[in-house]
Amino acid sequence: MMINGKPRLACNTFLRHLPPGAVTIEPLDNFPIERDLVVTVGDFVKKIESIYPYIIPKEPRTIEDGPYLQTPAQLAAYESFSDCINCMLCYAACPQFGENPDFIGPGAMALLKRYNGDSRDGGQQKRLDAIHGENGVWSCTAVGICSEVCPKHVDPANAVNQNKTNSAFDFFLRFLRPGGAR
Amino acid sequence: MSEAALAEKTVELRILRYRPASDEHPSFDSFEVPYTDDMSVLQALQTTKDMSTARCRSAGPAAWLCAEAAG
Repeated sequence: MMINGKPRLACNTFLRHLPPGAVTIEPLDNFPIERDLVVTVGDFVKKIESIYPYIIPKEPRTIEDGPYLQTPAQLAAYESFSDCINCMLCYAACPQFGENPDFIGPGAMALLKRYNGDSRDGGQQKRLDAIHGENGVWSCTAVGICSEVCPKHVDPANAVNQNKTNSAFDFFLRFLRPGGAR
Repeated sequence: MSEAALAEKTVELRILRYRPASDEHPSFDSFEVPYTDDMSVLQALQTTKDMSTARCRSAGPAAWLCAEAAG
């Protein structure tokens, strides 16, 4: 919630670290208030769902194929983005999301990077297609405050910028692909 | 420090309230809760809630009505 005007985790913010005097507590910015400190999160959940937040195997696998193995380097490629706890502090901090509630937002972008960066995953194209639009990755103006407020150091701003690169690459690559521009 | 001395220290919470059934706009309410050094904001909020529920207990069978009004 907003503690003294800043998006912070209430469980992880200690009174002794706050300046003396009254403590102001408000519900998370940029979300409709449902009641008191409770905000409506339905739109956020829909955004998370819209980027296919699960591994889409490159080819179908059976139990007999055994576990999907990864090298430590393959894990490191996405591990930091998998630490997101969906606290939505980055959404409360993001001025672009405040301006445009349809913007997919930093949290979903970090989650997208988590799956697109996974060596076991084959759903990159589907996810990139979901973020090409106006409310996708290009709504971000690289303010960077999402990474500042993130309690898990997921660094959504980094994820968003990598997604911009990938989105731009994908735009040009589609002309070379069989089937051509869509 | 005795328990009484500890309880003397308090902290003021200014909490934005909004009860859609009765409020037109959100507005701030102030609450004074006992302060301890190891207290998180969440614990302070839980204490606030427990205190207003406890106040309602004396209302007997109408306790739920009181809690509803206090939020």
